[in-house]
Amino acid sequence: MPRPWTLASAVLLLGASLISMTGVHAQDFPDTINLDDSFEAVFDDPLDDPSDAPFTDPFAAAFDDKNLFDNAGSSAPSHFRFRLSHQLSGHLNRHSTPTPLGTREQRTRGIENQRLGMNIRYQNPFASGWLLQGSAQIRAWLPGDYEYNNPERDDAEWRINELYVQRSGARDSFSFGRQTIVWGETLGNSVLDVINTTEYRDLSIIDIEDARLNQWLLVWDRFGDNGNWSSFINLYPEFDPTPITGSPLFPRAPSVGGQTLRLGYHHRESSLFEVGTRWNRSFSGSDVAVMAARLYENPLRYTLALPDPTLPALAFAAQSTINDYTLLGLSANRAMGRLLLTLDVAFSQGVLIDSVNNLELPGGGSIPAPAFERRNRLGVSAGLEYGISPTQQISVSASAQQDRGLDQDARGNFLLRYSNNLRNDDLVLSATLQSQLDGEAVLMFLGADYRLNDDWEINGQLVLTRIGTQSPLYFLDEDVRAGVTVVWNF
Amino acid sequence: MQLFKRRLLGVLLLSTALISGVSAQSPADGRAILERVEDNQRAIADAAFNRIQLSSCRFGLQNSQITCAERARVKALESVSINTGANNRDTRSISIVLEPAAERGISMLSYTYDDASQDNETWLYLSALGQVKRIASGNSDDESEPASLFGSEFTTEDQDTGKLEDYTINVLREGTESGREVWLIETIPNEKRSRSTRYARTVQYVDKERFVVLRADMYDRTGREIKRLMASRVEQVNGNWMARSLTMMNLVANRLSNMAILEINSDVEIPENFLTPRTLTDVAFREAELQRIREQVE
Repeated sequence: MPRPWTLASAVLLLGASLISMTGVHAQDFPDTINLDDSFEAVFDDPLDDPSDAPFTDPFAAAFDDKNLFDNAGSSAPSHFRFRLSHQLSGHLNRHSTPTPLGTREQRTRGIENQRLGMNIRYQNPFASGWLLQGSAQIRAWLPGDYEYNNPERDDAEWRINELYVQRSGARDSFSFGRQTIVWGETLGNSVLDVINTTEYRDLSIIDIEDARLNQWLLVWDRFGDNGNWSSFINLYPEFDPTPITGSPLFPRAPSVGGQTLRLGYHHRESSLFEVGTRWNRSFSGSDVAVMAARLYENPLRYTLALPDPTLPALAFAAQSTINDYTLLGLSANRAMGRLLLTLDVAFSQGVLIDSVNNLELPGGGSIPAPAFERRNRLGVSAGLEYGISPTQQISVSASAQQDRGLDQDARGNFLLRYSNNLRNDDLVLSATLQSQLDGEAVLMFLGADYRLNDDWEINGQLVLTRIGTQSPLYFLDEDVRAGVTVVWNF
Repeated sequence: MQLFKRRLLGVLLLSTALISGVSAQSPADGRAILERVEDNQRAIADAAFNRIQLSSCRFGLQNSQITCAERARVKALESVSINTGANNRDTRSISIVLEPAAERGISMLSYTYDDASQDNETWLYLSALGQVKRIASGNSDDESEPASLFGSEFTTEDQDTGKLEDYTINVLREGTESGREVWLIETIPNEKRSRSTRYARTVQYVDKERFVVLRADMYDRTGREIKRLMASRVEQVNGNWMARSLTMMNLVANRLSNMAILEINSDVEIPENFLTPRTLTDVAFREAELQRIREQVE
């Protein structure tokens, strides 16, 4: 674990880099319009009362400069977009955390993330009615990052996110390839947003949009006068990746009876596919959709397998369970002035819920082991978004799920988001509070995004977590994390 | 994505509000003057395909001239609009960002209804989600506050040349602006309207011959001038006079935004299904239809 001064030094270095970078920008910014060299202006009047100043259109040259649309227009747009980022974040609060066993664990401070990332996006309408779209990301783990020098990991990774081709006609659209499907209206907290897989590795990922993974889908959209149909077949269903041991959200593999439990990847013993369809229609001030799908539960659930003689004596192998179920859903929204109400309802038939079985050991005896039974589940998400002012937005949502036939309280999440856009949106301040309905786990995220110009931006974030002792995430209790990310778009 | 929960239509209508196709009859009635300006708005917005440069910067004074004090942030937009509804008094508009590259493809669809009892509607495409989202951006007819256009100093309130029944309108005097003879027309919102506007009073300078608003001064409740709109490059397009360069100065924040309508194309054949939420998400469809529209004007 890096020493605290390492984090401070890195922050200082990053700040110095930023200052240097700003200077570079001032010299190298492309002149898309001629503003009469006004940037070197030395103001000879106070700005208190410019109302009496004569006005000469400072943008008159725009009409003589065709470069802007020559570059961005239809004839030869650049199909690629790049986003280069450097992220540095760390844990700040040195403290001890109570464990479910009644002991305490020491939490140190230091860098958790130091990584260089490149996101590449390609979008090319290569012929009339045709589109080829793709995106990819490359990550390099730098010293201090929890993935750097991880014996089970490389120091860099890349993956294709999107890669699909689309053909659209007057009424129909077909797309095939790696893509995402999002159902539900309650952003970030919908019980219907279950088709895509996601990967949360650490607390630097707050929005589900950043964690969403693509799958191989064939999608058919039919646009009619009385509503639109959207149907899909998932030809190769995938599941959330297994956690990376050593990450802030998964510091160590779980143990059963004091023995390490190994989470393995699932084995496809038979071909899998998912299918679903949705009908939606827009009315004045409202959108309504109903949907049905046959899906596989995600993430995978694990049970204990019998001890594997090929594994170390004190290690149990986990056995994944693939379960298919039926989803019926309804989503709707209603806009009323500055208020937008959202509602999602999901009925899941045949999902697995946790239970406990005694696992007989070969040498005699038994241990309690996790097991499952099938139930039906009803889930509801409801939210509202409110425009406080032209620059301030607040949204509140809650989701709850209850398994039918069980005498249990509903469980779910509460999400509160607030944002304030300042300086013509150059500076965006945001706060997010996410909590389990029972208050067992609470996360607060404070963010500040500042755009230096169209190409450069810097993001700062502060993440605070409060977790109950009995939660599986108990080790995050009273954690404080801070981070900064510098981004270059080109 | 919050950056783009805005409506372009408002400013487009504002730009077309500066158009006149009526010869001057010197009406002394301010309401009649503004109604004539308003009547020409939809004629320009109908079946229109425009290319717009939207620039914003902090401004200052240099040699007693208002000028940018920093490099302007520039956006390139394409906009398509049609009129629909009874007597073609409703408008559907879509705006698509071409530049900067980081914002390319962000698009916004707006339905504006003439009926005061019907809320305007806005949808935004959130590229990170791959999903169209209805925006709670409010309605210019209710008690909503104005929304900024793509982070600029233009707001939806600046489009509100209509709804004249909500204002007391006075012709203050005649004068000159930019070398043209103008009426100075004062509009003061009524009690209902004043709850939803930052402008307690606006003075518009309307060209007496061309019915183009050459300048507008906006005041807050304390009588302080908070914003000023300056129009330039007044040209006749398809028989209608209009200002192709609009500069909105925020005198409080010392920031300004300029909307330069670089290309104006009217009477374009635009399929009605292009102005639907599908266009926000279906890039193949959008680009195919846009190409057909571009080919009509190139």
